[in-house]
Amino acid sequence: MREAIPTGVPYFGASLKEWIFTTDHKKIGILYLVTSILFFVVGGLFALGMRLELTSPGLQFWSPEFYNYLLTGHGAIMLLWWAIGAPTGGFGNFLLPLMIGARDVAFPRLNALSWWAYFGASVLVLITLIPGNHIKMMWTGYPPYALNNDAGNLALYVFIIHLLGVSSIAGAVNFLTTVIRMRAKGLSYWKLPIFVHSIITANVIQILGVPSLAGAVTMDLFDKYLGTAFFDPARGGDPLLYQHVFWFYSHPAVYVMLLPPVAIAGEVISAMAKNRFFGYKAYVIAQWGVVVLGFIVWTHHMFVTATADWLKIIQSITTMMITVPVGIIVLASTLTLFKGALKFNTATWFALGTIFMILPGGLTGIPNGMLGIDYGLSDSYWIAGHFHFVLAMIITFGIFAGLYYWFPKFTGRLAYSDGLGSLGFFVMFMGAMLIFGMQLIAGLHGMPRRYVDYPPIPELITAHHWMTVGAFIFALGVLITFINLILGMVKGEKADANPWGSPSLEWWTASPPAPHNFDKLPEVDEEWHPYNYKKA
Amino acid sequence: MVAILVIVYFAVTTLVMIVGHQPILEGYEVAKATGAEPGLQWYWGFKNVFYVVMLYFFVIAIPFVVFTLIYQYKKGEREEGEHASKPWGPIENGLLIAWGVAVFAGDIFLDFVSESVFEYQKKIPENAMEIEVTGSMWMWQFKYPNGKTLFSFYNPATDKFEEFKGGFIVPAGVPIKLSMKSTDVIHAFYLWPPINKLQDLYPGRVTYQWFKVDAPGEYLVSCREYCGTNHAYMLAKIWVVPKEEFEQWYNGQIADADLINKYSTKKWYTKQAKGGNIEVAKVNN
Repeated sequence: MREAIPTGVPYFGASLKEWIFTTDHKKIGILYLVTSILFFVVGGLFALGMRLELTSPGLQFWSPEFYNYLLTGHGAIMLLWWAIGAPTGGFGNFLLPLMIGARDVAFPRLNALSWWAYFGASVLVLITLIPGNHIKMMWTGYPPYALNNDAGNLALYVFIIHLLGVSSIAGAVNFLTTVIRMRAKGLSYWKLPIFVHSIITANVIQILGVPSLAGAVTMDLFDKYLGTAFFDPARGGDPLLYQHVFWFYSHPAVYVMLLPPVAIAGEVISAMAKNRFFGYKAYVIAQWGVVVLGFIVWTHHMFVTATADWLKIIQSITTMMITVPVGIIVLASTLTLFKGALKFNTATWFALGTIFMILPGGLTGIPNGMLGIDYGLSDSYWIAGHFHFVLAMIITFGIFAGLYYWFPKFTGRLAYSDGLGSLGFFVMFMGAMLIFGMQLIAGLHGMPRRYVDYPPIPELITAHHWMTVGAFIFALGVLITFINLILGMVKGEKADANPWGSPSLEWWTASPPAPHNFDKLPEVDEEWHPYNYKKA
Repeated sequence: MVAILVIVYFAVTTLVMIVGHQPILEGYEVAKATGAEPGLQWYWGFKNVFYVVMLYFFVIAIPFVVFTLIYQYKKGEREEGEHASKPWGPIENGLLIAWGVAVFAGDIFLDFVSESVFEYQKKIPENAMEIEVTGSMWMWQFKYPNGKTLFSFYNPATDKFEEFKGGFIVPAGVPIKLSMKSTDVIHAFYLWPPINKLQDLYPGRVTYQWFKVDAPGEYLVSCREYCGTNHAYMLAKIWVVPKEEFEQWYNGQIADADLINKYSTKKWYTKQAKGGNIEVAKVNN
């Protein structure tokens, strides 16, 4: 374990040198969060650029090449920087050691390396903004298209993925070791907060899955530059191989992104309702159910490919079974409200929004999982609407819920204004319903994904008009939220150590925590539970 | 205040679901009116899913709204910890597991729906006419059994979508088997609603799908697997023409342009399509 830096200033007063050479999990967590929020803004601007172009049929603003770059950038940035970076890297780093009563993660230097690899990938992704370096192969990088010169710089894409993979695996090893070896005295696995459980499950997926993704993109790289023939049918290869290897990681990766924000929402609901977590054990087991099922459903991304029918049928059934653990998670989060004393503030709204978004998101996923039905939905706007509800909304709302809830822990202050925060939420909520609801409808009218232009069919034009309106409403909501958070950092009311009265361990120390986290390492007794509000 | 907001919240989603229901019912009607297969089976399956999904939605959404309305913090009445119910232990977990079993039962029902639609789509009718489709970046080629070949190449700089005349001609009421391959990257051959079916194309491999439409008129095809710069312009049209006229065209008695102009209804899948295609059908009766 690292020696604590002897300074009274937690991190706002820390020098640049301290930030650069830091191995403190809290500073690294903040670095992750800030990076991922900046990239959320970049990815959001890319999305607005696309929405402008799509408002009416025909080409108005961009060339198809630039549009395809925006589309690739939006997907890659939102998934890899925002959806994986913020919950796992940001919240995971900052909160996990605090929640298990440890002074730092198990390997602080490895943790710093993990952030620097992520930072390196961030610099590389910004390099693609320079004309000539645009990557246009979509974040999936399917061969043979990815090997074509029309797709942009493959080597850059592969290197970015590899760097992020290094970052993810280093982080995963670190988190798992920390949870296994460094829990406070008396803190058994059944007493860990569900957010810690979600970080465990997410990182188990990372360790098992990332090598598969790295392998897939490496084969792409070898095929293009070294003349191998993994995906070249003329020389005995098969482009379908890539899709299998790629989705074997990239489907479970969805749960890496999904489980932590949903767990954050659960934490917030439990704390704000002052109520024990309903069916805590069933929830944790359901998370593991998601992990296990998540690894045997990848073919549902490939229902319209030339994959064997028997595999499609089996994986269609396993895909449908995902609804069982997810249903348990949603109902457990909902029933946590039962007989509580729910306090409505911004964090609560975002948390309720997160759980609520599982309904339109998860339920529109059911037809996609059904083999016979997916033959009419695959690669349509219906799919885009579905995964935006699931990924974009659950994750964004989950992260904002966490930001508001742990804001006192991060900064020592309360958010600037609850009114402004809630306004931000409702504006975002309305915008999101409009954009993604309309995407679903456009999909039912046949609108294919990844189109820079579309046939002038009246229904599609109407749907696209509303989507653009929704996108700008959503952007306004994000703006309000960021203004509120920045004002809170500067002018917010000073917070107590434990403003929400939660018994969980991260609230046992000062806000923001001292560099060594706890003056005395916490110990918990038999009675204690992170959701036992009776004793608090 | 809170009650109003929660109700608004709920109403918006319900509205979205009702609005979303519209295209499904409409699509089903159009598929029925045009005799489009496997679109008809697809819309039937999707309607079933929609009702089961609505059931799930209300099972979770209603308690969600009710609890947020009832169990609110009130000073002196509902405060910290006082109302926190004791952990129910096994009952709590058992309830969630029972819910899981109920969800599983719903899944099994939907698996049967999915499988029945899948089997129907998969089984290519024996009397089907085979057309070879070749996709390249960014054009389509259609080859008939007697060697007749049609192309579709859309140039966004010069072509107008409405007047675009690339595509292929098929007889009404005859199942068409498409054997498809690609010359370069992966494409997907997507038949727009009311047929609503797609299948990927690969280099070095042949894939198949079939469809059938009864009502003559113009239908749409496009690429639905990302394939680069002009992905959005990899379009084609299908002209469904009465069998006799198809035979005449096939034997070279009618020129391509004449037949295409006659059946260019310029009404793809929209509300208008329903009216348009029925009109054409009436003329033939």
